[in-house]
Amino acid sequence: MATSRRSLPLLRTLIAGKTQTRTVTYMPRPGDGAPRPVTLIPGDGIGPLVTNAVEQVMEAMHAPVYFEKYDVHGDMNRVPPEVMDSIRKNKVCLKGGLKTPMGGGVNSLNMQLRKELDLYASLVNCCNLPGLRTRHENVDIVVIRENTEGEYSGLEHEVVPGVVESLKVITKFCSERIAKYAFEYAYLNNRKKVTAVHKANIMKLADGLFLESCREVATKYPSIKYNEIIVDNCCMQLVSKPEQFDVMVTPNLYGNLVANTAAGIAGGTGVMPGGNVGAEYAVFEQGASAGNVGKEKMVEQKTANPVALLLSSAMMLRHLQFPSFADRLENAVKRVILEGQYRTKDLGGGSTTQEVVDAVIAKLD
Amino acid sequence: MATQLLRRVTQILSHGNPKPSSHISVARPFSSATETIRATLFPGDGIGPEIAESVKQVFKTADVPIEWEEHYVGDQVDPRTQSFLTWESLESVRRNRVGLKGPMATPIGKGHRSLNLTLRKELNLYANVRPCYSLPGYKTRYDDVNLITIRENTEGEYSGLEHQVVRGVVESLKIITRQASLRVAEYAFHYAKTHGRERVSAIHKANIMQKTDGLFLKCCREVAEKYPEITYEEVVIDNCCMMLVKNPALFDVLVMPNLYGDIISDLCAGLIGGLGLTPSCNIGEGGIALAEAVHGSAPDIAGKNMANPTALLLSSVSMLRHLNLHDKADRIQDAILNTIAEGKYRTADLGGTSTTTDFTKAICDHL
Repeated sequence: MATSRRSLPLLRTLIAGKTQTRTVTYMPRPGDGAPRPVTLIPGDGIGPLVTNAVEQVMEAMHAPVYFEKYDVHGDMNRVPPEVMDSIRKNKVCLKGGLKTPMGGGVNSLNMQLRKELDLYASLVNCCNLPGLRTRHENVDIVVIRENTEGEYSGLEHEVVPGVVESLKVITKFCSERIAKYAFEYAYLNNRKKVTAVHKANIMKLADGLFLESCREVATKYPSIKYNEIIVDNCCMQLVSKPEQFDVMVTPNLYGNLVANTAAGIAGGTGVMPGGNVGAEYAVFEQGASAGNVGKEKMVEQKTANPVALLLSSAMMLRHLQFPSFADRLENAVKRVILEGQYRTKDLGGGSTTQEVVDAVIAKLD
Repeated sequence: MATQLLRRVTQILSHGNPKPSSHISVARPFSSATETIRATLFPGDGIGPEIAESVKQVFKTADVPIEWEEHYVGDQVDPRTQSFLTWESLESVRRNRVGLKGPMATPIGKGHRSLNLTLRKELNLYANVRPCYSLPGYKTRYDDVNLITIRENTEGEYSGLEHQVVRGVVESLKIITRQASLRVAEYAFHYAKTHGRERVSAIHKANIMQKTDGLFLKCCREVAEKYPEITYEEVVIDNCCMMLVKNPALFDVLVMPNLYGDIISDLCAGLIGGLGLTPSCNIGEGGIALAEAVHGSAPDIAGKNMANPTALLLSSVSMLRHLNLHDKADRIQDAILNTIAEGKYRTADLGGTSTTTDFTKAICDHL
């Protein structure tokens, strides 16, 4: 009947939980709509699957980005120079996963990219998505992790046969700039608290230096609360009371663990967006990818979860200063999750990647 | 004459020096109700004495053949050990081969080693074992946790070797040796076998730290070959963290180097309800076992009869298992779990109103 037909879109918006808010305060500069090139690295394993998803959605939205695709695989020795040149030219890159092989010989390509482009901050946004039920509620944590030094410096050597040493390097320079980034992020995003994660009771000098830098920066932001927590206590609190954390700043290794734990409690690494950013370049990828890159079964059955990379590409659109496209993409993805009809296996559903992508495209307005 | 021979053999077996590389629990073939075992007890500070009293009471009611030797932490630094623990205390543990330790608060100050560090170094405690299982009756978000974390306790990132290279640049050394990794891997597989566990997972980050964690993994693989009936797998630590918070039932026995072990074992403790409910046991060379309660000394509730003795009780249960007194261990563990499951007697931290003594009495009644 006529009334029910008219109330259907209203009902749909009510179900979606958000009204079609169009921001009334976005005024672009002339020429802002010119298409921007973005380097795209599909990578290994599920990488090509999820980056293909992003390409499809960008096409459907007619987003002003075009991708320059490059083939890089985890077992290559170095990132090919033409890829690096492209990233340096475009300043923005979207990456699927690069599978780092176990064992000796090859330095992780992910680390290489981060060091060469000096992407010193890795950001993972872990928050409960509406509609996705998890064991923990009220999770809204941003993990900012130092990306270039710490335990992942790759400086190892065998002292005598059977004894191996690995160096963990912490510098004031890197600790200071990651602390500055964390507080700046909190300030720009209206966050109330920054927590530094450390193990300074055991590693007094190394993590002590990190904490000192954080404390110094904290004095410059008096309106933001600052506290410190030891990493093992932090993990314990994350699984019991995650609502006490807001923004967390950590050195390299702890950041990896905390980000994956926080992503796990908020719904899994398949849905958390994230990126690596430096002063000049930005590389967007799945927030906390916990080794799913090489899972062959996922690749064969095409059941990889594209949500994380889609949300990261929304982050990328915002970084490129296309806020309304970013909003549209983010809303569409959130609506698909809320409705719960198309979910991949890691979220408890049975859809394939393509089905989720089609659902997102259908929800774009 | 037969009894004399028996006694001689018992003496040889319990006093004989095992091989330095032996780490398997010294089997006490004649441990029966007639022979008492001496064990060292460090009540500790704060709530320590109260919960130690609980343990003694439960053991007495259960007729456990253990004779306690109590040692207290002094208030003067003993120059032989450079800490507040006296040489006599350490000798007592070395002699008795088993001990139970309550929470110890390291006094602040310089010129002495931390108490835990002293114990670890002097007794060569190389593995920290924490069984984590969901307590039926105490509801957390996770109901199906049943895993053991075994953490290498002597080296790794906690070697304490740091130095400042130039101003603003600090280096910290992480050391992995073949000997220590083999030792802890052997213990892990042995533990899995003797406790009927099916799977051992080695946790590592060998894709980034290729040589150090690679060596650890190599040692684990070598030991795994000797135990073909136990499934062995390797899991990257970030993957492990994520799987633990999503589905802890996936794991059985976890073996890991020092830093990862610290974080993962505390994470698992958080899954089951916190440090107040988690047992822990340190294994040393020659079969020494020092069970301990890993929570703090809680000076604010000390002396008020409000403390929860569960952690120390469960630790003492794991000590009994190490001594192969499995029937007693099972009885006490069942009593504890039933008391908590019933919900009538619970201490304040579990949401109840019972005192320590009431809780202990309830457990004794359940025995």
